[in-house]
Amino acid sequence: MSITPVNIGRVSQNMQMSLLLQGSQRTMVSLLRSQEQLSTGLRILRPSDDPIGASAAIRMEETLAAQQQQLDNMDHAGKVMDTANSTMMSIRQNLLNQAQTLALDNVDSGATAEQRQSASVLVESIIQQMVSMGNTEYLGSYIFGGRQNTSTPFQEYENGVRFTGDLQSITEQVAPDTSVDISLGADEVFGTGSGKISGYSDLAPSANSNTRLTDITGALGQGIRPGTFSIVGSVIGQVNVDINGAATIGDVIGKINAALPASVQAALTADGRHIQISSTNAGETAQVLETGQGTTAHDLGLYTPVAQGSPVTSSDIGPKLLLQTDINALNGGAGIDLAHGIIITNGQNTINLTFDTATTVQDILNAINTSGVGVKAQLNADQTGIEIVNQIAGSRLTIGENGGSTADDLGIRTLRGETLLSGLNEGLGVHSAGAGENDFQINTADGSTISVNISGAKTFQDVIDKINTAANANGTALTASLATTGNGLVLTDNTVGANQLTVVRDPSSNSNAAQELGILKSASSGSNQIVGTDVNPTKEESIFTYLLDLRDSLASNDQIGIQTAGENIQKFMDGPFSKALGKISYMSKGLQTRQTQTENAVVSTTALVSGIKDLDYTEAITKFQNLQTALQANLQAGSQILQTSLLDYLQ
Amino acid sequence: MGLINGSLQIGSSALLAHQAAMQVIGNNIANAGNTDFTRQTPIMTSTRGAMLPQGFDSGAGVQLTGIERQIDTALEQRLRSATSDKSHDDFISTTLGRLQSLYPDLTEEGLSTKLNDFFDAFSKLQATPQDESIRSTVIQEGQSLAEQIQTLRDDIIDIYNDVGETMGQTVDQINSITGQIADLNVQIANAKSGGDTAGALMDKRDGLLKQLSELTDINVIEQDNGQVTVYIDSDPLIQGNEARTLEVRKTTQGDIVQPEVIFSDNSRKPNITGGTAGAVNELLNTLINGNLHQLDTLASGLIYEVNLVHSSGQGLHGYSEITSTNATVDPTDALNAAGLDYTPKNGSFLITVTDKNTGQQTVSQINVNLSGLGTQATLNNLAAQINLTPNLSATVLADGRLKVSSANNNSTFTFSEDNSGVLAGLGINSFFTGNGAANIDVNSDLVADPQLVACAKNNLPGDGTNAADISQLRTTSADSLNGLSITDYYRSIISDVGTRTAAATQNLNIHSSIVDTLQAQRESISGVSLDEETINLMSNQQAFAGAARFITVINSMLQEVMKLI
Repeated sequence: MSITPVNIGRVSQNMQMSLLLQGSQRTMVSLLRSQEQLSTGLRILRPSDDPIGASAAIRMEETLAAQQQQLDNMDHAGKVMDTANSTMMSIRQNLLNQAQTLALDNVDSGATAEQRQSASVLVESIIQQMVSMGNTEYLGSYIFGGRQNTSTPFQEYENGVRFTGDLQSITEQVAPDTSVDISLGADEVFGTGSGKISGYSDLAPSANSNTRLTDITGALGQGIRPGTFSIVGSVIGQVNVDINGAATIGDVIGKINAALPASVQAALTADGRHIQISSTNAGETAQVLETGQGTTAHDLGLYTPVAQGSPVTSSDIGPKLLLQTDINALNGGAGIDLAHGIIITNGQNTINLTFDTATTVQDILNAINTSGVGVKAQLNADQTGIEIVNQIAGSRLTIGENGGSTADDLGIRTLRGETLLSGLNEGLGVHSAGAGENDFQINTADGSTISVNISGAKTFQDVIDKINTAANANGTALTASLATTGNGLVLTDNTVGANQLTVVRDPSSNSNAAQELGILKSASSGSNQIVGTDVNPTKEESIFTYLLDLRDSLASNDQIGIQTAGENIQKFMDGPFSKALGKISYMSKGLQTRQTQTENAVVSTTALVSGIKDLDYTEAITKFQNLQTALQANLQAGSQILQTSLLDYLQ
Repeated sequence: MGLINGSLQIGSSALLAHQAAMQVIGNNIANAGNTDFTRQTPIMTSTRGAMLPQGFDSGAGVQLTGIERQIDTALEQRLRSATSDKSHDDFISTTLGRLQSLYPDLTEEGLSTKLNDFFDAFSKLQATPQDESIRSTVIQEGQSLAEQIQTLRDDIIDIYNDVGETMGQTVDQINSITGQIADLNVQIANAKSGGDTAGALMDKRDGLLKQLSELTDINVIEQDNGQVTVYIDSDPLIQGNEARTLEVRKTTQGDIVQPEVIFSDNSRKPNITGGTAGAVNELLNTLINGNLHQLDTLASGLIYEVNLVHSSGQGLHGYSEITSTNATVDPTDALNAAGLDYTPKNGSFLITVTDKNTGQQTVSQINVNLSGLGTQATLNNLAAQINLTPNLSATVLADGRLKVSSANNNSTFTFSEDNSGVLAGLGINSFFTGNGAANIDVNSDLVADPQLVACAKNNLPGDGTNAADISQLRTTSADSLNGLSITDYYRSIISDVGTRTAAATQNLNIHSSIVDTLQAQRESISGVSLDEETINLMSNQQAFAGAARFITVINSMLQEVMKLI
């Protein structure tokens, strides 16, 4: 509203006119705005109406859009979970219960070989149905294939079932910063992937200047957190080193050296796992300290609170094993035996693999993965070594040497000196007759008999030692050792005679230990060696394995096998499978709760947006009426004033 | 007889004077509705007469000695300055109103809806990366977003260029008005030197000066001879009979035409801040330009942040050949000084080569050494490193782009773990191409093959973690956007336009009030009040009648004297 100055002395015609005009124009403009608001029902029509409110309203509408999307996502997640749930229910009700019944029906001695034979055909069809259940699809995604979800995860393979999927869950965004798992891994549902040889060797790769900081475990296991630390030398004084911006170990050493004078320099040690700071100044001692709350010196393993003479060597910085790690960097730069290679036996298939052309770790893994025996080699989770997964359920996997130490160096030899006897034979172990009794006899070429008692032996090496001790005590030239080609216990008979090297049970104890050690056999004619079998095969503890075992036991009329398989199936149903079913319904329930929460949030956000944007009709209509009254008053007053004029009184 | 004759003289002077005064009043009444008109007041002065025999002077009647314009020149100057402000604000608020109508997010679908749809599509893709139709949706949402940004920019530029056009019209008007004022200066000086008050001419000139002040801010100084000198800031625009003409010089930058006002005679640029011309300057240089710049920053940030994540991910299959969309100026320059819009930093990335037949994957690390120590990474150096990777070859094209291709038909390659930003910088495995609002678009490789949309981080078809990261960008604060997220930044643009428009409208209201107030003041001094004029008219009428009666009396006196003869 314009304000007419107070010191007005005269009122001109134009003033009256313009006052009337301005007044009515302003009121008309306000009326138009009111009309606009009333006709749209919105209080804020354009950002300038209320810049802060507009920004808040748009922000909430964004939230609303995101919440709608999250609801859509949850709908999808729910359907995926429902599919998994109903598939699993059907597996239990239709397949596993039937298999269980078949096992129970055929385990008692009343069943004939023919009945068992035909039952095995039924089990085979259950396995086939299990495979197709495992390959259940939802919208083009195999729900039990993990993130490898575009190809069938399970295939019937030779006599077993092969899993080529992935075990990581599919995730879905259900809240602004929260993604949840919406699928179960095949490991949880079926026990898939449990046939794993976890590499026991730390391959200890060395770092080089190009090693990324993200590929370093760090002395505290927290990686390398870039920051500032200080090196305090007795000669050079305090030097602050800032490694921010460093991406590689080379950058870190470069930054340390750039900060230090030429007389004190840092370098990687020969094994590439330590940083060493050396001084050429006579008698220099140094401390390495953190600056402020930093952790960099600790991460680099250089933290040295008490002054120490040159050189200061860091603790192991822990370079991680990578796919692209050079094989020459393994074992602290010493390398490992790759020339000889390994022998992999999985079920019926055996392959000799050599790694002559390998230059990096992934070349080794690729060679194993493409060997065609159904195994998958990968880096272990800690990235310190490798592990081998047996992809084929029902199949036994062993890995041995091929004349060298490759398998042992890689940490994947299935049977070795340190192997515990209790874990042999698929966990059944080795059973000694006990102290004071012998377990088996070794008959050599010269006709000697060595009686061996393995009681007290814990590891495979203990058994080898006991055999060698017994042979020594007997004065017989026989040595026991681990196979250098393949795997197993090897007995070498160096005696001369007409007899054949043979291992037999001790007649008095009738111990089964020789069988359990894989050496209950005779040397083939012309040979002076017994090469034992690898009694530590790796197999997958999965429902597929148990079903396959049941099928095979039924086919071969193996009553104990049927019983074991039946028990395993029962255990699986009661254990892991129930747990998985519980988990999926728990996940489903959690999702429903979240869905309700999000729906409530949508309602309250909508209310908030409405509170900001929408018009308060009562207020708006009152305002509209006030404006109308003002307009009327203005027009009336104006026209009245303009009507009177002194001119009327002129004569 | 002298006395009688003298008395008749007095009567006739009164008749003449009041007749003249009534003409002035009549003219005032006639101009009552003319807002440029300045009320005039007749000045009457009594005339000194001959001595009476008694030795006194009775006076010789009355004379109209002048017509005074009732004007306060300081007030006029204030009024002109306020008029400049008002017309400045008027133009700004109208134009900003038009600008803010490009952001209809409150009432209908604006860019915020497109941004939401885009990020929602990636959120959806997280759990279903194998789904081709959702991949296509992501591409379409991306294209639609890019298109909307480009359209928004075009619309802003339309406003920019329209406002620029106004400058030409404004300058034409200024030139026409200044020419007229210079002419009037001459006429007024002539009239004044002839003793005329030149009221009508001055009214006309004041009207023109007011019109001129609507177009630009001016300083008016009245000279003793009645002429005015007009300045813009400190540059003379009109001096005496001479008006300097202004002209518009246009510079074209792409699709933006920037007008610049200069004096025709010496090409000097006057500092115009007020009136329509000042508003045009402010709109072009600050307000619209700022909005355009903000939109560019948003587009650039969107391109960079999405590409940064996307370039480290993998699609359903790898590339058999890829050419970077961005070029370096010189492939021998360090990559952080090679003229890339998005500057890479020290780091590295991985290339995975997959054998399609066996599924074998080979990972290689490519270093991007920009640490300042040792040999710095150049494009040539990058190509050399890639060439060392088995089954890959890289060449630097003549235009400074990098081409990577697999050495045989059996292998494809993917990228991952880029912490240097070099892939986003070069535009390799990127989602968006371009560097701003003018040229943002979805990478044509992806449009041709949506399977290349990088949802995965570990080369698995069901891995949607990279898509999740892209959808999170909706709310992740970004360095390239001053620490705001993409949607935050867009909202800040809207609230900026809104605040500026609201401020301009408020300023307009304030300056309108000031103009109204000053106008009221001016009216109270210079305006015509019909009642007042009527009273004056009456008084002059009465005086005239009195003088006529006086003459009759003197005449009868003369008759009496004549009878003596």
